[in-house]
Amino acid sequence: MGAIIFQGFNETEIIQGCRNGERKFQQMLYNTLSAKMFSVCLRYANEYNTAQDLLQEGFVKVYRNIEKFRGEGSFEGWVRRIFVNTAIEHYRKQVNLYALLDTGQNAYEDYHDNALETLKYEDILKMIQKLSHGYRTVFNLYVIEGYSHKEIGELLGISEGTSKSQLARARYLLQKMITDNAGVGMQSQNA
Amino acid sequence: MEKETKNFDRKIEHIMNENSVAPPFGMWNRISSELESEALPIAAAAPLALIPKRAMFGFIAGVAVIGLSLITAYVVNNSTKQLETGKPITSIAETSPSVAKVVPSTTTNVVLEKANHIQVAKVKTVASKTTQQEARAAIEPSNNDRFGNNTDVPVPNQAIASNQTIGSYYFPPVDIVNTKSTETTEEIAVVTANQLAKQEEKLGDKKGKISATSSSEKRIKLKKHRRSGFTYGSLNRLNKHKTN
Repeated sequence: MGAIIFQGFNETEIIQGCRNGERKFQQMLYNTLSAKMFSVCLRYANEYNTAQDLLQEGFVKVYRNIEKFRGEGSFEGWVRRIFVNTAIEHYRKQVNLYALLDTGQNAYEDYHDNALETLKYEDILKMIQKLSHGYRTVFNLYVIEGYSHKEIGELLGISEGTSKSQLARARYLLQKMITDNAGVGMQSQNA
Repeated sequence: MEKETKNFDRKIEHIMNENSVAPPFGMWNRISSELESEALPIAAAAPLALIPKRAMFGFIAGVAVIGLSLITAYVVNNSTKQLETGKPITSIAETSPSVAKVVPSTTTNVVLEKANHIQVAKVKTVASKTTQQEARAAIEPSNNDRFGNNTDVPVPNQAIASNQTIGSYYFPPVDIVNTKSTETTEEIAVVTANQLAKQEEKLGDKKGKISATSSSEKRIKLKKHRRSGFTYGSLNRLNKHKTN
């Protein structure tokens, strides 16, 4: 996550412009980060329209709270955290996460690493979106955002065990989907 | 097994972070319109928020002014009442007992009263007639003997009766014996009364003549003539019918 440079303005200038409420700099920030943040929203949302709503809500939050950014860490990381929290807040009241029984199925047996390489980004994204909200959120937070189970538990208000079990189940289902999809793809290629 | 899961996670993370999806066209317009819609109510609410503050400030100021005026009126009213009654202010008497000693009581301090009376008499003797004349002669020049020491208005010195005291205000004596001015006024009054009687006689004759030859009667006659002679217009059509 490098520093933002857009149309000759560096990150500090863009942030200062956004703090002053200048629409020109707000649009610059949007043009710089919108694609990355929209992919985050698509991962947490189950459909395209919901991802659009999350993107809009997230950017409004960023512009509102940009004065709180102290410049200590990465600005893009700070923006990303806002989007993740926005997505979690969006689904918090809708879904209750519960602990699953440990069935020992941490990974799909027939899964192979080669299957993943045959798929495109869009295909994997659709598979992630097919997961239920609890699985998807924990998977995103642990695998892509790099949160620990303790942090996920604090963020979602669940125990570490619940987070682990949700992640294991999500991984199992995703590997299964990838294997099936890859199998169909392989069959179609062979045919 | 764990190694496989870690590889899987790492590959997924890599794919997700390397790729990104551009948002649909028009998303920025949605965001900017939301930002504007958030900014407008704040701008509109600002004057509404100010009006009650101003009103409250004005109300508080008004109440303060009215309250202060009432308090001052009460204090002034109390002080005037105390002055009218001649009683010492109770608060002062309570706070400083030394002041209360200064106020003389009419019944008990007879000695003090006498002493004051003696002092006043001494003052009066200082301003006696002879000493005043002597002092005036010493201070003023001889050509200005007619006028007093008061430079504001040149008032002639009045002769002061011997039995009058200087301390009190002196009213000059009125000379009632001198009747020269009254005689002249009586003569003038008699002359004017005769002249008036003559004039009235003359005027009485003239009035009769004027009344006989005045044009008021003529005017009245003209009015009567006009009243009797006025007729409404007659319709020729009706006359024609009558003739037929």
